[in-house]
Amino acid sequence: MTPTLPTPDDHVSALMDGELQGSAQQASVETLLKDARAQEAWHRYHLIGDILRSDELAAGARDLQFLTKLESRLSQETMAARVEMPERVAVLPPDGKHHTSANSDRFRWRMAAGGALTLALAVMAVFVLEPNMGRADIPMAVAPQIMPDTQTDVAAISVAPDGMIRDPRLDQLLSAHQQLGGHSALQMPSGFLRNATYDGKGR
Amino acid sequence: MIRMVQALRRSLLALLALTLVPSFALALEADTPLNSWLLKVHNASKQRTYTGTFVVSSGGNLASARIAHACDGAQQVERVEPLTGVPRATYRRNDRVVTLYPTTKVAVIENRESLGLFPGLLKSTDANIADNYHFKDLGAERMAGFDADGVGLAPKDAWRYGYRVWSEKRTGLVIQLQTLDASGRVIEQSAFSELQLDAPVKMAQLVQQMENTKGYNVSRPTMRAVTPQSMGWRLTIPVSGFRQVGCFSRPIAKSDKQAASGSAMMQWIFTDGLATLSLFVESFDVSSHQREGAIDTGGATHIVTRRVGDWWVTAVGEVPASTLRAFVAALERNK
Repeated sequence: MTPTLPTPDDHVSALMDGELQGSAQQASVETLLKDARAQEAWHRYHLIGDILRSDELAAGARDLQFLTKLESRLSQETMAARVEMPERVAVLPPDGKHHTSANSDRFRWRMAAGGALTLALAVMAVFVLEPNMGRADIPMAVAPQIMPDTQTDVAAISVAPDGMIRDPRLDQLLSAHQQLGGHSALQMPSGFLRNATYDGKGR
Repeated sequence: MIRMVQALRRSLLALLALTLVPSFALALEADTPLNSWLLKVHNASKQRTYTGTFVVSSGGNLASARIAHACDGAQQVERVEPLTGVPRATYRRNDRVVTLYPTTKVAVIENRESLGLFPGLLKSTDANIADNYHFKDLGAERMAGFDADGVGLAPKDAWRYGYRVWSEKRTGLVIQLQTLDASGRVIEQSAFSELQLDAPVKMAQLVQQMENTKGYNVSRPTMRAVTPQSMGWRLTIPVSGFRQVGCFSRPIAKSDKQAASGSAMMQWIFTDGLATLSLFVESFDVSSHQREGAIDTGGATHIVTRRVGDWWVTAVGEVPASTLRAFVAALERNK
């Protein structure tokens, strides 16, 4: 008998934890191979689990890096999922016995993963939205101290992974600025070619 | 008194002549090694025909384009076809620039007068790039299959970035340009990954492609030259090494579909000879102006936004964000 499971996510996580056996397992695998959403969920759970278990990405400043990577991986993943899935399926234990999986406290891991994501997103949102006020203006007579612009590192998140600024107003201003860039002695040929080549705008 | 006026008139005419004849290769007296080198690399691009592939690395992003450049002594024409991003082709014939977007069938036609200004800039007394940059020979290196001479342009203060430029030994054509931050790290790089000098490029063909806007929606961005004073603005304390080179009023397009709302934006341009920046000032609009602060595009270009009273200022330039902040802080509304 083939049980029908209500949502792709449920059967995906059950499959991951080796909770399904025999025909249920097979049915789940078949659904997984056909359903893009299920494949997406499959990959997402593995990715979250792997990253959370990795020592490299300890909480704190690394979270933002992780989020950017995750975001770009996820945006690519929908298309790549179909190619990857057969490998993942082959890893399942063949004997159908109930193994204690690495994330046997599945529910707790999912909560922790969700919580960490939410926290990191909140941290990121605070830094991005807080206006850059109260920063002491540099005295004009003195050249600024050479210090890293930490504020800008965080604000870089507003640039999409492929380098395109998503704000059309800013794109227009960038374009207007480059249009008058002939005042640079290095404009010909490099400056002009650079502006015509690297068009970080979407029209 | 009359002689002085006559001398002034003569030099003004000379300056006007310089700006009106952009493609004429001027034999200016290059008084410093830096100026003579700048003239050499600038003229090299006007006197050679070439094709190649140009690559720009900005922050972590890579973009490339196929380039074709032709000249016949009187005029120069080039075509830039990016291989990344939105499909488009940018054509330039002297200072007329046409960008064609085949997918959306939009053609943007611009007259970029500033492209012809450079040799004249060296002549004017307050345009001394050597005041802002140390000129240094970096030696020879091989790149894109050519022997190239390297030159370092190190900034004399922290208001600007440094550059390393390699130009082809024989012709002076710039093959690679790097922008460096204060710690010497390359933050942006643009270079020919491959180059064919004296390639058989047909100028007539490029011109024909450029002017073939049949079936395209032609857009001609308009600008009106104004003075910052007439727009109600002044800079209280100028940032060292930068001078203003233009101020324009341009209509703000709310979106591609809507007509311009009728409001205008001021664009005030500054340069130190190598880097440029623009201060854009428009009326504050709470629905669209929400994020103040610095935006890092990943490469050499930074953006700083700030609300100044009833106005919204956006500063854009190939300079550190601290320089843009200094400009924005110095911007003041006339009483």
